Amino acid sequence: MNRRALVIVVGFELKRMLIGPRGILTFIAMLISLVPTCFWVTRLAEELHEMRGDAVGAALLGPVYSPIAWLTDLPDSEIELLFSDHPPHLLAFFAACLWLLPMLSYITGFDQTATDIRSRYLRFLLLRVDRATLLFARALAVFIVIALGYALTMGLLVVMLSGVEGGIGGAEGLLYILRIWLCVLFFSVPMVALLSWTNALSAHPYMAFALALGMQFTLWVVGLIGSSQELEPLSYVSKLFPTAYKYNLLSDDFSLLQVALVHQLGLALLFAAMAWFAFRRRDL
Amino acid sequence: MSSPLLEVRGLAKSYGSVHALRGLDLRVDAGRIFGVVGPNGAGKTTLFSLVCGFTAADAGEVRVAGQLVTPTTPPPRGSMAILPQDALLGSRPSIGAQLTYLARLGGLRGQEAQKEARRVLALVDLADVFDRRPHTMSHGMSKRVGIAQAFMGSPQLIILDEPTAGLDPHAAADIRQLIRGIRGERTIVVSSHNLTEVEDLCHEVAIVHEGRVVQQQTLAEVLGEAAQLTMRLSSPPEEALLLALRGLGVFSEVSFDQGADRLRVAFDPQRLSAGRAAKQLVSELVEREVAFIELQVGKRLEDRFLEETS
Repeated sequence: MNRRALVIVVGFELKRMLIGPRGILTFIAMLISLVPTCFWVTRLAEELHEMRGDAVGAALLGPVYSPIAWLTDLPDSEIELLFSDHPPHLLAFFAACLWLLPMLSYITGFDQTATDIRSRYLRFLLLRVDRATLLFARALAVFIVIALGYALTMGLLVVMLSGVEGGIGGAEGLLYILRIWLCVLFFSVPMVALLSWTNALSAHPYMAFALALGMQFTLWVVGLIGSSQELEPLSYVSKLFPTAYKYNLLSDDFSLLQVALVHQLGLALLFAAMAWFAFRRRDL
Repeated sequence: MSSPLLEVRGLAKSYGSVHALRGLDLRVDAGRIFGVVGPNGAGKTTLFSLVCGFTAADAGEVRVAGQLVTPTTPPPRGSMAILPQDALLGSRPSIGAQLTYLARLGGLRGQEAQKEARRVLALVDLADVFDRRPHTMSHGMSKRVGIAQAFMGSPQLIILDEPTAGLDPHAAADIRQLIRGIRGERTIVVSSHNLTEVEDLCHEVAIVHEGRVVQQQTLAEVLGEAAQLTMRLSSPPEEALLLALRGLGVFSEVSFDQGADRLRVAFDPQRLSAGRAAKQLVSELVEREVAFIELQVGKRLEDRFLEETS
């Protein structure tokens, strides 16, 4: 891999993405999904500030632990711990960011190489840059756009929460927001690698998008059937998708966090290897 | 024998049940303008795709300056350039920005890369499109931009896949002039369906048919240098002229090809040089006040092409 070529390709792709329809689409999607989330979190922070010390309010939270535990695939006790140890509004924001990330990854990364394979544009590049650099640089550019989008959203949230008493929660709150950003970025790595693979497989961006979405849906359905029919091996199939342990990233429990990190790192490596295997010898 | 700049050995490639190349061999020496001709579907574009590492061969090997080329081991950066047949530039950013990007990837830096982009655009007479977006260009202009990017930097080997297809006669003549202008400085491999163009430009030619090279020789060899004269007359000749030419005892065969509208005479090159044979033929025509338009020594490439590929 050539480092100078990598920097040049990433720079060019960032420019192309940020000034083109894909960049605009990405930022519109982020605006539509994350900005209302910021507003909702800010309102939640205001309400929580008013409810602070209210025993009735705290008691009301009790019954919601179980449905949240079911939705996040975390133990009830862990949910209780999360609500007691974390600023609830930032925790809600954290969960919303993790929930939205797959969709935002699809929108940002569905066309890493597909259109350029189809139009044979890559033929202008291939005698100047090797395939590994090209594939990695395109994925890296998508990753940077996701990182920038989330950084902007976090910045917006900080500005909005600064008007609410106890909203940011001082340096500790800022560190928590940084943690959210880093976890979201980590979670985006296997998603970007997956899209890199589906792009290399198909020469059409919508096909690449459909393949990734289809894979997510199929694994989810198979996993659901496995769980409902108590067929243990099938129930694990859904774990082959990066979203499987995403809510573990909310936890302070190292064992839960470790599962998520290993799972996502493993899938990132697997998808990256599949992407390279498909791209390295394909007809470009 | 010096080692060739481009060497292709036993190259085979299939797309499903379609055998695009079936053990193709080719050798191109440095500094030559090399023509590759063949009917549609003969395998020319597949050959170029394999030479550039755009796709993987099923069998055989490609070497550029002695180095093996595969999709994962491309030729050294900047050593080779191509005008791909159907490739399109992205719709954004501007043509200038895209060419500057390609020049930077080719090893040039900042201002130097931009200068190079402007230089090659001027070379194809498109200096004023630097800030334009690719989708605003006509097919011919896009083709010229494609040629411009192939001339960036100083590649040893330039492959031009049908460089003048779709260009108007002025633009095509300019491109031919451009290629002639660097004759001897670089090695150029050019494919074209315009056989007159190949005859005009190339030192050497390979005729590709059904995935194999059926003929690779210098142009003079391919055309059968001095054994035949072909003449285009302003009107079909009278029988008396043909009899008179046969009566000279110089030509072994005299015939008029109605389909091609050409007078053909064959002679024995052991007994008579091409120049003397031409002099005899022209003298006889002048004597009989028969107007002629064109005289060709040897066969036309089109004739050889039809012989080899039919």
